[in-house]
Amino acid sequence: MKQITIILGSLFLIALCLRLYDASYPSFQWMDERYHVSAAVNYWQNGQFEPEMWEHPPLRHIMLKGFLEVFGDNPLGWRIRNILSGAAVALLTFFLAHEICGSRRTALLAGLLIATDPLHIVLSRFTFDEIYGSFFSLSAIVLYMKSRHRDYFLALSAICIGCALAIKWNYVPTWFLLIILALRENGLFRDKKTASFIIVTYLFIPLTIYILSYLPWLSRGYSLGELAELIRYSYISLQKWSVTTFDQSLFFTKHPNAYEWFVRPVMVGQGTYSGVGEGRGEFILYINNIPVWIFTIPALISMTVISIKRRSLQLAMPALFFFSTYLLYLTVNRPIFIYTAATLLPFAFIAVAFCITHIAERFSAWIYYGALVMMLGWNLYLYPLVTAKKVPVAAYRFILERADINQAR
Amino acid sequence: MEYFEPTSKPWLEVIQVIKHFMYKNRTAYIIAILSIFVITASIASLVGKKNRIYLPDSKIVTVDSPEKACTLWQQNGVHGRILLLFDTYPHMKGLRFYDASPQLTRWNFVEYSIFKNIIRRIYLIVPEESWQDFKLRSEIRPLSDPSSPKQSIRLTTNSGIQMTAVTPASIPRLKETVLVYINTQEFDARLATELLSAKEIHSDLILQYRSISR
Repeated sequence: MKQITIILGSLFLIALCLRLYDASYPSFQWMDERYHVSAAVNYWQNGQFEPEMWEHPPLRHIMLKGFLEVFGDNPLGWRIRNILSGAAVALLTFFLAHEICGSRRTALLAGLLIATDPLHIVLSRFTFDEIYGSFFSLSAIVLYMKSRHRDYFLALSAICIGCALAIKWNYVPTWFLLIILALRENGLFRDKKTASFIIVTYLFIPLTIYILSYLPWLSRGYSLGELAELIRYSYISLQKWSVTTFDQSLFFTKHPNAYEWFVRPVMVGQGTYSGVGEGRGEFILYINNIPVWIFTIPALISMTVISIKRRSLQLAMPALFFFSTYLLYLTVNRPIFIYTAATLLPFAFIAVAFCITHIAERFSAWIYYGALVMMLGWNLYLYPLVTAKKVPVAAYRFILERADINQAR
Repeated sequence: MEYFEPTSKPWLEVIQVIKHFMYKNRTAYIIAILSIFVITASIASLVGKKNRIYLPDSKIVTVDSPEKACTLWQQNGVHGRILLLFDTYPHMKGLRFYDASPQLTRWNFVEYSIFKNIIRRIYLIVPEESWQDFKLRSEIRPLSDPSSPKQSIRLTTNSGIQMTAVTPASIPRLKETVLVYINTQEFDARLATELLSAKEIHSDLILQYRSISR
């Protein structure tokens, strides 16, 4: 068996196991799952968005309904979409890193960081759209990077970005960037036919998918004009969202800004203490894993500097995709919660892995292995804490004391 | 034939042929993608229009309790319709408000009709003299600017249903045949029907609610 097959297989297996293990716990629909699942059924049967918010595009409902049909209306059925796409994101991060940096080591480290990241794992074990949304978005980028003027790769890339856009508008910057990059490549915009080909591919395929995702809604009697109106008012409505729009008992509302994510700890969640002297506890935590994430911004800046020095647009890709989307999160006129950061993590970790590999190549290979062991060790240490496993409170007290936890004693 | 130029080297000729083929394919591809888009848009348009169900004739019916309006709409099989609501702001709490499957009551008949896909869009008629007070009500959640001199506000609802509050004078000229519900405790039924005629709005089912107790 080829080495690359073993690496990819192992990476996917690690990511899948961490997401799949005991994923049926809790056995009830936790938090927004109760809205996501019933909205999927309601949308498929009646073309209605409720009880989910109507502002978001509805491909999410169609996808979840599909998984419910195959796996049943049970915890695995609700969550398997995220488990599979979450594990696939680790593979896609590997491919993207390999394509950008040309180094298997960098790609492996980036892939492993995604596979073991506590926030990515937690979101992959529930029904959050950031996981399957970024799966499609990342697929679109990887397919574009691997296209090398093969038309069908670009068409597949357009299908993927269309799916991402029909899940959430977070991927609009990625979409624009893909169009610009595709046109810019080798001056393709100068050739009218190729430029038309790229524009038609990246404009009309996503638009077609977007309209198709609204077919159940349109079947309620709506026209295309009313769809355009719905989209317009969705945008206006999203602009009017504030922290008070959300249930105030929701722990995410304590950190409604994106600027904190990569500079200071954000730790929220729910937990239960048990045992003698409440010595044990189980928690579901959404944390930004600051010991690893703190390197994101410096790594992205370093990578950009290197890309400028080497005159390599390819090396600037993680920074381009990261900052275009992050800028949207920083400037958007609505609360943005920590789980949205999951869409940025592949680019963040590619930059971190690139810098670690770069430093290791200059000084010592041991730096790479040391960072690998430390980062993965830390992530795996957090794994039981964030995924509702019974943990000794003493071992995690320094984190628990700093986290905003809704306690269910 | 701009991609096919004769050359002395055979391998270059092969590349030229491939390029030419790609060039031709791309045109076909562009046409195919645009066609798929147009077909999708047409189907999407047709799906919506085909699912609107109207009555063959127009009728005016009086009901003695509001929920009977919904029952009547269901009995007549109407679907995917615009409702002109001459009434106060309806119960619009959304599906999350209900612990179990929603049941039809006198308070939620409009919302229930939305759940049953009878209504897809609402124009809520607000008397001119109540317009300023209406704009200040906390439950209406305007999406468009309420301070605008235009007496028409787009409202948000949990269901995402397209709901617009308008004064009688600001009712748009609707080409589509509409359902009409008039709460006679709030509006004069004669004036309301005259208004519809003046605006050239056609309705296949006008429901007038008159309370027996009054």
